[in-house]
Amino acid sequence: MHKRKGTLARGVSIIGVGCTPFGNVLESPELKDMTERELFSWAALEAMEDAGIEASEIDAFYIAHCMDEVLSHQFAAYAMVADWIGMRNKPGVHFETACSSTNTGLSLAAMAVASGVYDIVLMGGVEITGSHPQEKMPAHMREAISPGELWYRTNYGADQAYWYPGGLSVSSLCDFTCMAYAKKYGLSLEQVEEALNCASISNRRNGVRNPLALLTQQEFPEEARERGYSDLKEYMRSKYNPKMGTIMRLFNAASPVDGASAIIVCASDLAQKFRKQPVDYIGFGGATAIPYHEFEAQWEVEKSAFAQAYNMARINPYKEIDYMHVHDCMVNTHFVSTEIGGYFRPGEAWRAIIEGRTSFDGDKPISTTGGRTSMGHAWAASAGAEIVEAVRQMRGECDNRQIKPFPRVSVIQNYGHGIHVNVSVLKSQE
Amino acid sequence: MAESIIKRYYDTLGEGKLLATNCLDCEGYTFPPTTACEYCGSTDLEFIHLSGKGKLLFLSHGVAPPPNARFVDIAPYAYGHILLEEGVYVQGIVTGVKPEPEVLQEIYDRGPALVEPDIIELQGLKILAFKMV
Ligand SMILES: [Zn+2]
Repeated sequence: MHKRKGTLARGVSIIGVGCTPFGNVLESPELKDMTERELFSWAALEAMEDAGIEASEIDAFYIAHCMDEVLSHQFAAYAMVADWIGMRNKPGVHFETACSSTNTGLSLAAMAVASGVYDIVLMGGVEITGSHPQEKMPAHMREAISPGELWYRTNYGADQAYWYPGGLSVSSLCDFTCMAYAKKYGLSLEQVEEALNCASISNRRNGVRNPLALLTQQEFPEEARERGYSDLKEYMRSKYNPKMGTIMRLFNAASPVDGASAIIVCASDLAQKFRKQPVDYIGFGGATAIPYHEFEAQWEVEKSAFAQAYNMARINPYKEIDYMHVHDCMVNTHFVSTEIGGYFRPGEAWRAIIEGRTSFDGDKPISTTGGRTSMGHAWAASAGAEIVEAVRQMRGECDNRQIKPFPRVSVIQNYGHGIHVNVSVLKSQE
Repeated sequence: MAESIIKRYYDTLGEGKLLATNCLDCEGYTFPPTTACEYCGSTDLEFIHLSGKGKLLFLSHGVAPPPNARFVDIAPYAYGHILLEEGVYVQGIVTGVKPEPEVLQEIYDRGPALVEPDIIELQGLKILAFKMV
């Protein structure tokens, strides 16, 4: 009998992962002409191959596509992909929690398996943010969308009753959180600005080593030298990295990209059939609210998600986490969310970032994908890509950005617009 | 008869007042108003008006052109994080401030400034903004 609320009634393991390169379907040769369904199928079929499983053995699937209607001129994403991934006539559901979608989706898939209804579930997400289909044309015939238009549509996910009509400036929320952090720990704005820039430098350093991060070709020191700056700190405060608010700068913010990711979960008691050493999904938590009041670094909504996840996983975050991905569409999360999530003690993360400890080869690695600033941000697909990365790090498959020793416990935290926070905890078997 | 709370909020703003709810169970203020208390979830609420006076804790600014075309004429505008005297946090446009780096840094260094509501109208919609006093 299942006794404790907030825990899984049956163990759940990750047996397969897949992820497309993240780039631009109009420009990147690797992705040229690809459509939403083809990107999703790419990731899903790669995950099946990784697990050594046939589509016929998978019981159900979940697909996240956040901007399906407002950008991709389509809804009913489940039907769009069922045939393409060999899962015709099986249960398929579309869901979204915006940019945390494929973190949330992993929790949904796990609950479906833990309930006993299904043994094996595929979950994935897709997003094309740089273009949309030409009116009345099939999806491979696309036209670019301007950043202004993209953000206008993305902000459909912000409170449309009060906050957004009242002039909500999303980048200002990063500033407020940074200022509250500075006040709380007695830092100057210059120190916080340096922490932000060093987080962006670390993300770029990781992203250059991630073959799926198509937009990232060059580390910041090299880019600075090419533009005539011998001092990296000076470059990060130059005209090439303009301020977007009081503190936050351009390189501290996400770059929109196109891509897809997919993950296959299986009941732990059956997982050995597919993988000798699967990664177990031991905890998760989700929380949602309109966070008007959270910018004093209170973040009750985020604390709730972390607490649920750690309670289920039964881990002590201060002692047991080897790798953390935080949602870095604005890189202040590298010090705010890592502290809320117990990866650092309160007030310690900013210095660790400046000291370079959070790169892939530091003792406290964060966002080895390159993060949303350097792998890029593909709305509903990115959280899944970040979980795929954690699984690959735990398996030791990450080549020149491999964390050593391989992480045994990984935590992935994501925000979805609105806001929704989802936290997932992974653990590799002994 | 059911009444739209959102409509009532904007109608009230048109009269120069800030509509909130007071929870009869935990005495928490919910602003902007909804059908449930944000602290305890109670639906046993009464409508009240907030003064709109408070402290500007932090100041930032939006981008130009703004994602929302309603603000095209005033972008880039100063955008503040404010603690109202009733203990409610709110974010809003701050009028009468040039959002330039030196100005913003100076306001940050000076510390919390007193603000009061400056309800503005843009393209037919009343908007709760604030001004420093
Ligand atoms: Zn209450």
